[in-house]
Order: sequence, then structure tokens, then C-alpha cells
Amino acid sequence: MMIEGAGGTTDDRSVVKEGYLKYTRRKTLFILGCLVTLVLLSIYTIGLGDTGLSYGEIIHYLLFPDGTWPSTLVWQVRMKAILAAVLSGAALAVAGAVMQSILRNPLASPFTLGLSNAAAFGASFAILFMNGGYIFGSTSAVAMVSSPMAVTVMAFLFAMLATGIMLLLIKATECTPETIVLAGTALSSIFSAALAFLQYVAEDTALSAIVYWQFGSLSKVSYDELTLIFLVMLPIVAYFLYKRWDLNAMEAGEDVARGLGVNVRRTRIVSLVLCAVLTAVVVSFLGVIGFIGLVGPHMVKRIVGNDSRFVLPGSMLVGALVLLLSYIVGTFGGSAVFHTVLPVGIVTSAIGGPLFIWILVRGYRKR
Amino acid sequence: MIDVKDLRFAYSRGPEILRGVSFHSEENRVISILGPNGTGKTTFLKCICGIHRPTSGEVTVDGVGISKLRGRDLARKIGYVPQTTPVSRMSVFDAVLVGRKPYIDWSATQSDLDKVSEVLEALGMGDLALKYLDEISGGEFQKVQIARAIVQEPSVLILDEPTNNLDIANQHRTMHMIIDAVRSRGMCTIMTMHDINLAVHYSDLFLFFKDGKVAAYGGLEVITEELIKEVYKIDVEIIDHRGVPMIVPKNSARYHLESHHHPHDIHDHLHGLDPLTDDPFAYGGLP
Repeated sequence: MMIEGAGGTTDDRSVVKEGYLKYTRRKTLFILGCLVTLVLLSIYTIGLGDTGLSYGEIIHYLLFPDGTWPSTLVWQVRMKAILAAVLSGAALAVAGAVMQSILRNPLASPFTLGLSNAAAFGASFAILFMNGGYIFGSTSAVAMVSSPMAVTVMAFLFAMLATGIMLLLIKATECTPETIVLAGTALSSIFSAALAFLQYVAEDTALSAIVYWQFGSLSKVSYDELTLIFLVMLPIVAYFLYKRWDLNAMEAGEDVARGLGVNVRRTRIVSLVLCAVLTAVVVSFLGVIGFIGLVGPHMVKRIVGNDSRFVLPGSMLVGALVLLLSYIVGTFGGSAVFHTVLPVGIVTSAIGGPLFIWILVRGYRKR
Repeated sequence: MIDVKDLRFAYSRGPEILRGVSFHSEENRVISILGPNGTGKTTFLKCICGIHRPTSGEVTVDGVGISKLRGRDLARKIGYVPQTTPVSRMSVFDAVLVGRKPYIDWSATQSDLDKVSEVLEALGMGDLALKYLDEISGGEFQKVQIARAIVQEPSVLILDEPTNNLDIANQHRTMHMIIDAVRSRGMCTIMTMHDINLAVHYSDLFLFFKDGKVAAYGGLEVITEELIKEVYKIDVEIIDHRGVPMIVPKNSARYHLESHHHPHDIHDHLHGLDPLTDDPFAYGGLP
């Protein structure tokens, strides 16, 4: 991990530097704390419900999968959903953190660019016109997507189309954060109108499939898809971490950043495109999962300030934690209360909203 | 050290803002750029530090043309503090540490941290190091901006209105801090100033701007009543105060009244003065 300032010895350390090293160590501890919590919560999640497995057995099957039923349960059911929650939560939150930084706008999130509506439109289009979905089962009325590949590809393509339109708009204007956010809002409502139109003309079966797709679910991905998400994420996150000093310089304004040798325009455009790719990959496989990109970075910023060195890894961990918690609430809480599994997309917004308001009301945390 | 030759600049499809600016300075000099609002002072600074690309002309620092320098190489030559900077939730130490960016490859080294600590201690801001920028005063915030440019260790330090919005004590403290930093590091400092009377106390050289051109450039001797009249279009009197010129306007509410009334009436008149009807000129009314 890229935490600076901790460790190293010099004899004539000043009081100021000493204090600063302590201060960065506290922030590092916060990040490590999040990491440990995430690991523990993951193991706890595997054992939830009627698995009948002890934690010792869970860890055994995690380390030595042997193809028996408990091992399959651990790896194919629980672990898959957990990994999906961790990866997509981290991806959406880091995209949100970067966007808030480069656009200098606290409301920026992966969906500010109109990506989610564009992806949802693409998915709906595939469901309607490319032999998309049907309803599975008569009582539970679970709509299934019959050709998931087409839906995923179309969702991704439309998310990238939205990004392309955005880039053209940026090229035509001065690429200020304001124009980007405003253009994103406009794109978002255009695709939202197109989506509403598709839903209006769709038949019952297709409509159910469209709505089902949009809710976002962690259980519909395969390990191959998770690997793909991970492989896309890895270089993008590495790039963001490498650029963390540029992001910090941009916190002091565009002119200061340029004076420090940052190519502000290029950093902004490249980061935007990478955020878009990250979001599009997650959304097209998992459906629309809102709010993580907004709430994750804000929770972390309240604790560690706007320093990208800590905000980026912190947001990833907190985003993963929030999504994992949403999964637990949706899956186990949902079964207990509503006798059905609630899609994670509903839960994130339902618990993310109040959580966000609580953070806002509580205000800045004092050190 | 720094050499500016026939610098011209216009925003795309706009009128020419800089119309051939030239000047030269050796190292270890403090240069104040003076002139009325809207004459291209800030644009000029942005051209020097590479934020704007001049349409023609060249800026050379230590014999290297800055148009040939990119990114961090340029940032090691020229440090820039703009007129306004957004306040973000970063600690003072981190905000200053960003100034080391042109030297940081992957992470900040111990020597980067040492340099930041040194500067903060030298400026008496050690206690503030871990405070967030939104928790400190305007004067302290301005010092943080200058500290960031100092740890950048440039050859030329560019400051746009460094004493804007500061009270008289903070104005002088900030200027002292700039002078100390410049003298101990041999930097050349170029700053725009609104307050001539503050500039004369701290600058070696004065560059007067008028309509995108240099109206005068030199030491204290260039500041004359005629020049001020030509550049600012205001009548002033220059008084010698312990060897330092003091520029005072010939017309103000007080001076204007004093010439017409008995001294003991002045207070009553000043307090009862209606700015719109009684004496528009004294309040800087429309020409």
C-alpha cells in the first residue's frame, strides 16, 4: 500500500515532522482497520444463514477447496457474492473519489456522467430487441435475462457511448468541471427519457426483465466475469494511485496544479474516461448499484481529509464494506423480514441515504 | 536570471492583452508589477509561468527558454501563487507538501518532509501544521500558499497579489516572510501589487504596466508624480518619509474638505457627507 510518512529514522527530527508522522500513522491505521474489518466481515458473511459451518470449517474450505458440498457453498455461493460486493464496491467508490477530486464537486459520482442511465438503456434495448428476457416461475415472478451476454455488451456499449458524447462535449467546450457536470446531467436525463420510453412500449415479460436487471444483483455474476472486472480494475486503480499527487495538487486549484507541472486537462480527461470504463464494467455485469460512489468517498474524507493518498485506498475499502453490508442486509435481513432476497441496488440506496444524511448532520469530525 | 523579450498574448479571437513586454532581472531581486486593474498584470504572470502560451516572444530563466520546458522541469524553475486558491480540507502540512510534487517520484521522501517542516517552523507556523485549511485564518492561509511555493525551490517565485485581503500587520508579516525566503535562497520574485505604498517598502524594482505595455521599469527613482498620473490617471503627491517615498492622493474626502472649511468642521462634515450629492469625486465617483 502507498502510505507515506510512516517509518524511517533521522536523528534531528523536528517536532513538526514528528507530529506529522504520527498524524499519517493514524490515517494508515484507519485504512488498516478498514481492511481488517472487511476481511472479518467477509468470513462472518460466509457463515451467515443455515450453513451449519463453524468458522474453522469455513477457513478450512476457503484455503483447501475440495469439491464437496460445503466447499461449493463457501466458494460458489457465498464467496462469489462477497467478491462481487468487494470488487464492485471498491471500483465504484474509487471512481467516485477520483471524480469528486478532478471535478472539484462533492456531488460527482460514477453516475454523474449519465453512465448508469445509458447502461440501463443499453440493457433494456438488448432485452427488448435482441431476444432479452422472460419470467421465471409464476409465484415469485423472478424475471430472468435469457441472453446475459448481449445485455451486458449492450449496457457496456451504451455507457461508453455516453462517455464518447461527453468527450466530444468536453472537446467543444473549455473542459471546466462545471461544463462536465452539467453535460453529464443533460446526458443522464436524455437516456432516462429513452429508457422510460422503452419501458412504456415493453410487454410485461420484457418490462419485468428490464426492471430486474436495473436493480443490481451480486449473485448473477460468474467467476469469469469477476476476473474480468478485476483485470480491468487493476491497471486503472494503479493509475489513480500513481496520480494521487496530481489529484492533491488539483485540490489547490487548477492554476496551482499547472504551476506544479500537472497537465490538468489531460489528467482530467484520462481520469474521466477511466472512471467511466470502471463504472461501465461494474454496471453492465451487476446492474445499477447507486450511492456507493458518493457515500464511500465522503465517509472517508470526513475522517482523513481530502488527501488522495488516503482517500483512494480508504474509499475502496469503505465502498466494499458498505456494499457487503448491503448484501448482508438484503440477503439475510430480506429473507427474515420480507421472505425474499432484496436486490443489493435497493438496499444500498435505502441504507446509503440515511447514512449519508447522518454524516452530513454530524458534520466534520474533529481530530 | 530572468529575461522577458517582447512578450505578446491574446486570448483566442480576443484583443491583444500583452503588447510587447520586455524586462530583465538578476537573481535575488524583488520586482513589483504595478498598474491599474485590467491592464494584463495577471495574464503577464500566467505567461511567465507557462500557464498561458504567449502568442510571440520568449521568457528565459537561467538561460533556458521556458517554452522548451515541460511539467516538472518548468515547475522546478518557476513557482506560482495565484490570487485566489480554493480552500480544501487538507492539513497545512499536506498542502505545503504538495509543493514538493515536482521532485516526488512515487512517494515523498524524508528530505521532502524535512523541507516542509523547516519552512513551517521558519514561518512560525509549526503549531498549525496539522490543522485543516478550513480551520485557519485568511492570513495564515495566504502564508500556506507562499510556503508551498517556497518548498518548490524555484529560481523565480511568482506571486499574484500576495497581500490581498490581509490586515496591515499581516501584510507586513507576509512581505517580510517573502523577503526572507527570497534573500536566503537567492530567488527572483515577481509579484503584482495594488498598494504602491506597500510595494515601495519591499521591492528592489518596479515595473509599471499600462495597456499591456511597460510604462516604466527601474528602482525607486522611476516613481514620480508624473508617472503615477500617466499610469493610474490620478493626481498624487510623493512625500519623502525617512527616505521612503509615500504616495498620497491630492484629492480625498479629508483633503478636499480641509481646503474649503475650518479644521473643526471636518468631523461633522465627514460624518454628514452624502456620497452621492455632496462630493462624488472624493468617493471615487464615476469619471
